[in-house]
Amino acid sequence: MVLDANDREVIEACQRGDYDAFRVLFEAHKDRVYSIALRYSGDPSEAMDIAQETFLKLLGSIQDFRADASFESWLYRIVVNRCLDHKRRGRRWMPFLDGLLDAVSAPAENALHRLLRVEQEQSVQSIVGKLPAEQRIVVVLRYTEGLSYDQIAEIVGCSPGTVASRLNRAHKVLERRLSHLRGVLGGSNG
Amino acid sequence: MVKAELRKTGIEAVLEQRLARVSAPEELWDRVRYPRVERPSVHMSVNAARMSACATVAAAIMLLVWHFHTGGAAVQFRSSDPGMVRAWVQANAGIDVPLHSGYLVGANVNHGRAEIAYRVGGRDLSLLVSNSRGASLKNGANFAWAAGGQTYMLACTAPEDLKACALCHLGG
Repeated sequence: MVLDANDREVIEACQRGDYDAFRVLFEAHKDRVYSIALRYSGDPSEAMDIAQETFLKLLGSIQDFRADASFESWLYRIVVNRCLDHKRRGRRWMPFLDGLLDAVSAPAENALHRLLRVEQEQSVQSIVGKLPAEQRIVVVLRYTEGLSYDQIAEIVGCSPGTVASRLNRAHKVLERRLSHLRGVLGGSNG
Repeated sequence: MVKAELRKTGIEAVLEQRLARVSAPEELWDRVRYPRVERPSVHMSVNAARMSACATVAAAIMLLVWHFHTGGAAVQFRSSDPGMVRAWVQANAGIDVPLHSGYLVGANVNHGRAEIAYRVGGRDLSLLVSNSRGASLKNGANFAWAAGGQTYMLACTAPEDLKACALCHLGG
């Protein structure tokens, strides 16, 4: 999570109001921000709102970023706060029907495989979406971003022990609710 | 705890696989560059969509009439968050208005000029900001001043309108 010289230059250019530099920053981090928002909200449309708000917040507060701090941690904190603050407009899992329709309309030899994959993804996403917010965000940072307990603790503002216990509770719930996927996933117990 | 981190259980493998990072849609940049205020509802019958379209047109006409009569708050970017409004104005008009807090409704930009919309005493007002020095008073503005290479204009009809100062100045 240490900035290299290029990142530093880009951030400094952003702080001087260089909009092209902001575009560079956006391109470098858009997938990360959108993925966290999507995995947390479970709704592509809501994820777009959260990602948009995150980058607008970033643009509006980049002046406050200190060069000696970790930019990625700072960005993670913005997107996490946006996720947690985001008004829940009623959960909509319908957008995932798009995925099902895509799978069905795929070439015949792949259709069944894709359908299964989409179904599994929906199951996982939907069950993760039912976790309490503080467990869900920890699960997303751990498995979408692959962050360590210490990194998650720093971003979320709690101790690594609390992260571990939230993950542990989430694992138990998810293990119970996702038990039907074990057979399908077969060798993924890596 | 270290042990728990290293040991990958079945559920961890499933989560890693199914919650993996995805690519952001291309239109995200447009959403950041030209922030959208409202998003359309996706669950709507045809009749509801028609009624909604009629209502939207009627509302737009009313808003337009009201706007021209009152100079009201039809804003392109609606937010009370100073950071977001500042960022949006900077991105779309190239003007940095050092907004802090208070009374904000949103902003418009037009021909390189920003209009910061705010609400005081139930009335919608706007602070015009232009990059050009010495711009003449426009749109009924009766106060103009320059700061930081920018010209600010304000139409004041009541003392409380000067609460616009609090938009940029703490305790203003």
